[in-house]
Formats: sequence, structure tokens, C-alpha cells
Amino acid sequence: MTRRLFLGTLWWALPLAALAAPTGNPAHDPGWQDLFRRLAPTVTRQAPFTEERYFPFRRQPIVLAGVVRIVPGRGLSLDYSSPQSRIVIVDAQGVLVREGGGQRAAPADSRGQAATAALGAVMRFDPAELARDFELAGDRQGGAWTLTLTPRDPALAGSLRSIVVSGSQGHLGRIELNAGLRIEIILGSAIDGPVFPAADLARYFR
Amino acid sequence: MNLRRQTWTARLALAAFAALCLGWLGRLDYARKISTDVLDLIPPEKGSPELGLVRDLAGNVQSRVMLFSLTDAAAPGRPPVAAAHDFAAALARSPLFAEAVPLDDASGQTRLGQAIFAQRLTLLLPSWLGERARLFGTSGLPREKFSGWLAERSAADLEAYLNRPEAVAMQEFIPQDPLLLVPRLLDRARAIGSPAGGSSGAALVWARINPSPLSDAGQGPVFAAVAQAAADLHTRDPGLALRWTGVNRFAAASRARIESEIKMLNVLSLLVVAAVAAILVRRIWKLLHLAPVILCSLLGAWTVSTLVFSRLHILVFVIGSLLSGVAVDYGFYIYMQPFLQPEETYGAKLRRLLKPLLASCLTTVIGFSLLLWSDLPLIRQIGLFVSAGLLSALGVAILYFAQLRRPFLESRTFGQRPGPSAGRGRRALRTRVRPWLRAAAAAAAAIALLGPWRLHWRDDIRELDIPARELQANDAAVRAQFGDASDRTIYLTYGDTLPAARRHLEDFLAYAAAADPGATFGSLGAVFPTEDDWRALPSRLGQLDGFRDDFGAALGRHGFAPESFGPFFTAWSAVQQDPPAGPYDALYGSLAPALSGPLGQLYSSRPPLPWFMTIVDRPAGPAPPAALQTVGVDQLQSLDNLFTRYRWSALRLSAVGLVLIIASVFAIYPARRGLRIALIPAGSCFFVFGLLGLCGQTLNLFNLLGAFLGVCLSHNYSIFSSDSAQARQPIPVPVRLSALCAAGSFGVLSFSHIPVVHALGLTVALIVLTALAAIELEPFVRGEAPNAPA
Repeated sequence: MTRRLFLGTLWWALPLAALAAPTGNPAHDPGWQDLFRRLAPTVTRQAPFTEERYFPFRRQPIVLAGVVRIVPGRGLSLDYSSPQSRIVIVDAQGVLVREGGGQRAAPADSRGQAATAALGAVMRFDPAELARDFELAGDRQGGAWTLTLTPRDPALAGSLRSIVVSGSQGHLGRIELNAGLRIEIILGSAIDGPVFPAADLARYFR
Repeated sequence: MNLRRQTWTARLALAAFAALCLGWLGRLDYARKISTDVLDLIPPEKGSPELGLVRDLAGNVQSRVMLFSLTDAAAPGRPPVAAAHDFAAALARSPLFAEAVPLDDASGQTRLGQAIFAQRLTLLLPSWLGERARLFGTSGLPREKFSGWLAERSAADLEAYLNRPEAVAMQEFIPQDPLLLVPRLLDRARAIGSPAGGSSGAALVWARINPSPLSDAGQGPVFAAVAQAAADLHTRDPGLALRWTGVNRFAAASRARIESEIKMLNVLSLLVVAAVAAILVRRIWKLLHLAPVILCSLLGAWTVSTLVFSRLHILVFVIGSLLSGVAVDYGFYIYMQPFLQPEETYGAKLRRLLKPLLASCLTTVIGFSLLLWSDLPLIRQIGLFVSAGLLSALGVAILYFAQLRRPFLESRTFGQRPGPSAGRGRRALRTRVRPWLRAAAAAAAAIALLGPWRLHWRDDIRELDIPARELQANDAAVRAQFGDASDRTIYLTYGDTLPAARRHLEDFLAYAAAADPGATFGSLGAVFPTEDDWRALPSRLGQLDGFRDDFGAALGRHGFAPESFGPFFTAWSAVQQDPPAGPYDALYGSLAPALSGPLGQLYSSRPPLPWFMTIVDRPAGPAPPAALQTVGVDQLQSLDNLFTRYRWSALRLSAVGLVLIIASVFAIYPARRGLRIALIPAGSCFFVFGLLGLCGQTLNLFNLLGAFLGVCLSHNYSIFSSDSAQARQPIPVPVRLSALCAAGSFGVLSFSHIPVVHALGLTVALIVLTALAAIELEPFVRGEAPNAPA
């Protein structure tokens, strides 16, 4: 049961990868390296997203929508607006959920922390770090690309089979999480370099 | 009685007294008789259930826990998990440890989670159904609509839950638990959380020892086992660093500090007394005659106290060592009073001195005896210790000097230079300083009257313990890694019975959620239903015959595939046919096999005071209403309200004691002399409290006790100087010597690191010095120059 809780942790980081960007062996291929450089967030980013969760016991997916924000050095924030308002923050301290005027941290045991560390690597889109924590496989067709990340940690791999990120040119358009259920995240057009007022930083990050 | 007979009678009596005392004290088991546990300073329950709670929690639960944090210098950010496992295994092999658990290992939580999940319909369904039934009751719908209403609401809740992040982690369990019994519990237990060690690069080990941390077995041998396990680790990996904490470390440090303070303070006190005596007494070695008096006084006090009390706190003996400062008074007074004529016998001299001796001793004993009625064991023990010691001191002083040939200790004389010019000089000096002294006396009176109103009192049980700053800093650092933080609060909810305690927990959780809707709570007590919901479960299930069909239809309406929930419907049918039943208290045993390590400390179902722990992710706020029977652990640690009660109790007893003392004085002496005798100690006490009040000092219960002791000492000096004041003669040297010795020895105590001893020493020293100054300056202020000594 505890292991399942980490899924949620890792899954929250996926839109980040979307914002950050995509990726034969991507860890060493110069072409992929260049793509990683373009995807790695060096400035603030913001993008709308739609998330679809396909539970095996439902006939239709659960659809959520919101805005993802990323601030290098602070982390990632998912601001869900539909169907319920909720903010999920992923940063170096772990995962924090804000809703209904309160906030709560995700469980912080060692496997959770390993997942959070993996999230950090995804957030930074650092090829060396990603290669250390995940098996990377890539496919490029013209401008389109797809990167598949498979956790090396057997404990994590038991919960999360793979993360597939895909896009076109230097833009990440879709993330798919395979973890018993399937989660798809479709990202809208990202804005690079938006200025977040202090109030927004306090609200969306910690 | 001839001298030879008198001598041998006195020696025999003293020998018999010493033999009896030493015989009794020699057969005592001091490890059992003397406690270093701060909890022994507070009474057992007696109208304060929170005391029972703190005793159970601190004495049987928390105090046996030891926390270890391992870091690896070679890999600072990576917890040395394997080393922590080896270390825990090494501790667990020692018979001194009941259990030792590496906290990275989630197997304990997993076992508990599995146990709760397996019993969810027994443990969690009653509360869930109770809540829904109460909510339905407010809807105004007819009872036959309950099943449909419940099905629709449950399906809607499930759909909403899938929006939450946690739903991804719980998705495999939802087909078995679409009512969200377990996710709902996780919400209520979330604040219990996990340790933060991993994030700081530390691997954590939680352990519980078998012996009491306050016993020798819980200290030295346990420390040796830890040292051995740590040494084994270092041999394998020298880069590993171990930090650890436990109540036994504090207890050992506290005991070592008290023992060292006792030695140091006693030596310093003796040095001060010797220095004062060297100034005032001609043949200082003759002061050794006072040693048997002091020793026998302490012997008597120890004997009587250990006879009466089954267990005494070590602080009684620390504070009781101050008794020597008082006990020496009677010896000084008897020994330093000259024989009026060469042929005056010891018996005749004693009869002459008996009235002030008895007056001072018995009135002081009456005062201290009143402390026997205190609610606080420490105060009762001090009251008896001092009373017995004073009576022993007087009796031994009378007997001891009876076996000496013409006992007399000659004092030095100062300022007795003869001649008319010296006399004129003294008179001129008196005339010049008199207005200043009168102004000073008026100022002192003003301070005594006004200053006490500015006093601030603070009562905290931690004042009774000895601060060990390094250990406290280490403890805070290690506990922070285990998840203790100042921004969260731990509450204990209790009750006379298990159902009552669980009901109070329900009320407290409702109160806390209403008081701070944003706060997160964690209580394992939420696993169990209240007794009412438990008893009502069969009848409530009886109203839900159609629920299975209603819920399947509702799930379909909300986008679910009802056929996916087969495991739930099977379990539901089973529980409807055979609802859980049995004794309510037995529910709490069902999880016992799954509760190990720190999880086993989250509630106690043991009588006489079952309790539940609740962790709130908020700093401590106002205390919950008394009706909720819930207290913050921080409140328990300070027990400030309780100690305030004890202070008031001690104040009342002291006041009654003083009234009795003063009444005794007026019964023995004429009104004018009685008034002087009463005013000097009382005035000194009020002056000192006034001074401390104006200086903004915060006082506690033990300043009050010190004041009582100071008043009793001043009372002695006031009585002993009464005759000389009446005869307009200089203050007797024994009084000066006694007062200076007492001020010196108590002044030494004011440098103690033990807050209690510091408070007592400072207060007594100040009062005694004030009283001595009052006695010395009284004739000058009144304009009555003392005559030359007789």
C-alpha cells in the first residue's frame, strides 16, 4: 500500500517533464543532448495542461485541467482548476498538496524520497542524472520525438513501469505514465520567462 | 548530677542515638529508597488524572525509548541504511533491549496497514456508517430512503476522490474499498507521518529498553551495549557517526551532577563557615566540637525521613544538607555563651539558655511540620527532614556539650578599643549615620510593603530537574530527525474507561477540526469506532438491505463499472449477514500484533487511564476545554497549573506556620519583645521579596520554601538577640556567627546549577543577611546606643 503512495508522488512530476521537454541512446547521443539542453528549464515556464486518468474500474477517464508553473531552483507547481481546485508542489523538500485552506506533505519515507529524487532529476532534465535513475530509450521521426524512461530501482519499477514523454522540436506535448493505471497529460503552449509576482510565488511554491 | 555521671550519661545517650541511626541506615537499599526520577516529586494522581497520564507516558512508555541517528561522513546525503540495520540487530540481541527497529524499514507500517485493511469492515465501517446515519438524520428524508441516499452519496464521494493525487496510489484497493474506509482513515492519521531522517542523510533506529531508564540497569549496562554496537560499526566503517538520545542519558547526567554538586557545595559551605569562624572565634579548632552536632543532626534527619517515607527524592538530601546551616545555631549558642560565674555548672547555664533555645527550635519545627500537609511529596519530605534534623540538632547539642568539661568557645572582640576618645568617636559616628540609617530603614519598609506586589511567579516542573544543555541540544537534534518539530503539537486524550477515552477523542477531533479547519491531525485512535457506533452497527446494517443494488446502480450513474467491485459486494453481503459483534474493549487487541516500534506508542488501552495520542501539524495553541479530557504533551511537561496549585498550597501552609510561630512567640515573650521577634523575620522576608519584585525577578515555589526557611532562621536570631536587645547590649557573637555562617553557606548554594537549590540558597541568604543587618542596626536606628558588653 505504501508503495502505491509513491506513484502519486512520481506522477505529479510528469507535467514538469512536459514543460521541460522531450528526449538510439539518448543519454549519449549528441542529438538528444541538444534536445535536453533545449528542454531543461533555465527560465520560468508556464503552460496549461489537461490530465486524463484511466482507472480500470471506470468506463470513462477522470479529466482534470489546470496550469503548470516551473521556477528553476524552486520546483514545479501544478495548479488544478477543474474539477476541483488544488495545488500540488514538487520541490527539493518533497511533495506538498494545498487545498481547502490547508496543506499536507506526501509521505516521506525512503522510497518516497527516492521517488522525489527521481522527480528532481526529471525536473532538471539533466541527462546524466536521468541516465543514472532511468533506462532511457528514444525515438525520433523528423521533428517528432519520444523518450521512454524506465526506473532502474526495482522497488520503484514495481509501482511505476515507465514514463513516456513526447513532443515536437523543442516542445514537450504529452506525458504518459504507466503505473497500473494510465495517466496522460497533454500540455498546451508553454510561455517561457513569465514573471511570477511574489504573491503567486508564495501561493504556488514554498 | 555529678560531672562524671553527667558526662557518661550524655556519652551513652549519644552513642545509643548514633548506633540506632547507623544501624537503620546501614541496612537500607539506597537504590530503591532514593529516587532521581523527577516524576517522584509529584503526587500520584489524587484529583489530577493528567498526572496519572504523565506518569504512565513518561514512566512506562516514552522514557524507555531510545533514538539513534547514523550518518556516513563518506556519503553525507545518503542514509547508511545497511549500517542502521546492523546496529539495530546488534541492539536487539542484547537482553537489555525489548526491541530495536530501523525506521527506513516500512514493514511495521505495512503490517499495520494490512491488518487495518483486513479488518476494515469491523474497525472502520461502524464509524463510517454512524457518521452517514447522523448526516442522513439531518436531511429530513424518511428512513426507507437511507439506502438509496447512502449509495448515491458514496458513489459521488468515490468519483470526487479520484480527482485527488492519493487516488493514483490507492487505485488497486478501491475495488475492494469503494466506501473509502481506508483512504478516509489515512486522511485522519496523516499527521502521524514518518521520520525526516532520510532527508537529512541520516538512517534512524528506534529502540525500547527493558529496564527503567532511571535505574542503574537502565543506564550503565545500556550505555555499554550501545557503545559496543557503535564500536562494531566503526570497526567496519570508520566514517559512520552515531548520535543518540534517551531519558537514561539525562537521568545519568542528572545524578552525576547532583552528586558532584552535593560534594562541591558541602565543601564550599564548610570553607565559608570555617572562614567566618576564623574571623569571629579565637580558637578555631575548637569548632570541631560542632561537627558531631551537625553530623548527628543529619543522621537523625536521614533516619527519620527514611523511616517514614518509603521512597525519597535525592533533592531532599541536597536541600537537606542545608540543614547543617541551621543545626549549627544551637551548638553555637550553647557553646559560645560564657558561664556567668566560675562555679556555674553546665546544667545551670543550660537552664538559663533553655528558653530561647526551645523557643527557637520548637517554633521552627512547628513551622516546618506544617509542610507535612502539603500535596507535594518533595515539600512533605523536606518538612520532615528539617524538623527531625532540628530536633536532633538541639538534643545532640545539649548532650554533646554536657560531656565536655566547662564547654565555652571564646569569641574575638572588635571595636572595643578603650578610652574616652574612642567612645566620643563612636558616639559622633552614630549621630552622623543615624539619619541615613533611618532613611534606609524607611526605604526598606517601603520596599517591603510595595515590592511584593510586583512579584511574578512561574511554576514549571522542569525547574526541579537539572538543565543539561548539551544533552538537550543533542536530544532536540535527534528528535527533529525523528519528526519532532516545534511547529506541531502532540495531545493526549484520556478517559476513565476505554469507551470514554475514545468518545473524548471523537469530541476532541471534532473540536480541533472546527477550531482550525486547515490543520492536519493524526490519531491511530480514529481506527477504532466509538462504543455507540460499535453497538449500533448491526441495527444500521439492518436498514441497508437494498444497499448492494442501490450502490451498484449509483456507481454506474457516476461512470464506474459496477462489475469491477465484486470483491466489495461479496464482503458487504458477508458483513450484513453476520455483523461484527463482541466486547468493545476486545477491538483494541485486534491490532496489537501489528503494533511494533513507535506505532505501539500511539495509544494505550490499559487501565486505569487509557489514552490516545493525536498529532497536529500546528504549534501549540490554547489548551482544549477541560471537558474534552485532552492535554498537550507540552502542558504535561511543564505541569505549570499544577505547580501553581502547589505553590498556593505551600503559601497557605507557610502563612499558617508563620502565624503559629508568631503566636508561640507572643505566648512565651511579652508583647513588646514578641513584636520585635516577629517583625525582624517577617520584615526581612517581605523586604527580600520586595527587592526581587522591583528587580523584575521571576520566582517559583522554591523561592517560597526558601523564604520559609529564611524566616525560621531569622526567627532564631531574633530570639537569641532578644535578651541583649532588651538589655541594650551588643548583639551576641553566636547570633552574628550563626547568621554569617548561614548566609555564607546558603550564599554558596545560590551558585548551584540546580534551579531548586539556587532558588532556595539565594532566598535564604538574602533574608538571613537582611535580618542580621536589621538586628545589628536596630539600636542605631532607634537611637539606643548599645552599652558595652558585660
